[in-house]
Amino acid sequence: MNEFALETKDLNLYYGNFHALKNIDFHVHSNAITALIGPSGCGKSTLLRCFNRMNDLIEDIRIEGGIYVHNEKLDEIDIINLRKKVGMVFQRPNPFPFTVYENMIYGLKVHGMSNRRTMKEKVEKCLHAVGLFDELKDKFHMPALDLSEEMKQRLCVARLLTVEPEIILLDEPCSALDPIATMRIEELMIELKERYTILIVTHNMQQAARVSDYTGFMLLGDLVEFGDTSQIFTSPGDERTEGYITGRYG
Amino acid sequence: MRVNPRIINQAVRVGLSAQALFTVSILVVIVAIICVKGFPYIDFAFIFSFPEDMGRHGGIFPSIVGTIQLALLSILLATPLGVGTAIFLTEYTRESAFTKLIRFGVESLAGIPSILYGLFGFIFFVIKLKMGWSLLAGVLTLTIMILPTIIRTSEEAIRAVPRQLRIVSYSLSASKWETIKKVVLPAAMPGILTGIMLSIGRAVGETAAVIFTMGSSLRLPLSLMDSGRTMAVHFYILAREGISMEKAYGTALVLVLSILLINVVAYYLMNKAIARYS
Repeated sequence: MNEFALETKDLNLYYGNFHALKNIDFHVHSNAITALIGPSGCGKSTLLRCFNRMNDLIEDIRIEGGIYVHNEKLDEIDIINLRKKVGMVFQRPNPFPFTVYENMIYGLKVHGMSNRRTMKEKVEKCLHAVGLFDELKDKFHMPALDLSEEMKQRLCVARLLTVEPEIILLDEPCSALDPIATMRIEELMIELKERYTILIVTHNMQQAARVSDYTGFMLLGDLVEFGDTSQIFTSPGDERTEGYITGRYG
Repeated sequence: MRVNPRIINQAVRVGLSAQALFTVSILVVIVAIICVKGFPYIDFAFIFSFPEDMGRHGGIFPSIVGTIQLALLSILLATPLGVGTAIFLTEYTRESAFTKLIRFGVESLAGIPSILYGLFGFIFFVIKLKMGWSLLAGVLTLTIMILPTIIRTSEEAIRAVPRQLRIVSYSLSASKWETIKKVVLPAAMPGILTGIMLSIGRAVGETAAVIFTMGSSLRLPLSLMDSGRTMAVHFYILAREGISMEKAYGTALVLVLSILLINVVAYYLMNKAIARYS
């Protein structure tokens, strides 16, 4: 049996009476970028948030069906370990209102690290990984909120990398960024996929086409189509997918 | 006839600045009177020596010490209690009849005149619990009195921390308590400090609640069970009983200056905290 990094089997999710995800069978390959596209309200972010149990914070939610992380059933994984394994970057850059360095060591401290030297090495390594080190090496103690939006988002990715996740969930990570910053973040994603599995939700179809290896198209809670990105964008099997990617609706 | 909006604008501007000027000038006049009347009596000896003859002569050293003890201990007690309550109300409960009741209680407490706190402290701590007039009874009474301020301001400050920050913290696999301790409280710190500073001001300036509970002994309080007299109470008694208006104004000036000092230090600390966290 093929091992997927993330998988759902017959997943149904309800917000109160609203059926938000309908019988979703979906999987994410390791060390690849998988994109979820679809119009607003189609359930793509909801599906993404299932994988690190961010939906738990919402009241009146009901989830049925199987969700698996590396073939392990989600319910059987301790939530702290799950969120260490499956990290997330949000729509709006959201550094803590502390200094750059304090942001970077937050996850490390949560995981019980206290040795200053190891922490510093780790911080430097992760800032290198997102291409921020040269710009920030003398500015560790400046407030993170003073950075540009793009740098904030990079910092958020770096902050996540410090806790060594295996899988990174990106929830429209570029929607608050300008085109040049978006391009840089996309380049970063491609670099990161060598070592991480990435699932990205995006509003931007070109972005999905540019960076992802696999694409799923969602509409009104259904996963309409899933396959190789090149196939989805060149010869979609479903006319609803075709309608969306050709811009008939969106 | 329609009045030209520009004229109305001007009139409003003039009217509002007159109001602001009026308010500020009252404050300035009060401080000026105290300074002018009190300044001649303040010197090293006044601050560091003991009062003689009911305060007619000598200094106010025990009152200064008593004020610091009372304010400091009350704040040390009220802050953890108040901030803890605020954390409970904001982070550990959903809005319900229960939280509304607590909040209503807190608000009512904030509106009670301080003399009633004094009376309660007198009946409960001084008589019932047999503490006598003591620093301890004063501290406990003032703690209850300033709690509502600390709870309200902390609650507002904690509520103002964006929800997103909590969610990010969870996504980095922090627990709820870690999130509160390492993200929410630091981010809310400027607001919480404001409440604490307001409360110190209240504690330092309070008379009614103190006179009934801590008493008005002129000796230096050396233990929690000793009675003592704060500067505000000392001023009140000197003036009320016509013992010495000179010493009363001297005391008032020291009181005003120390409140000023507390505020300046508080602003400095607060700006530092704000610069760091926002």
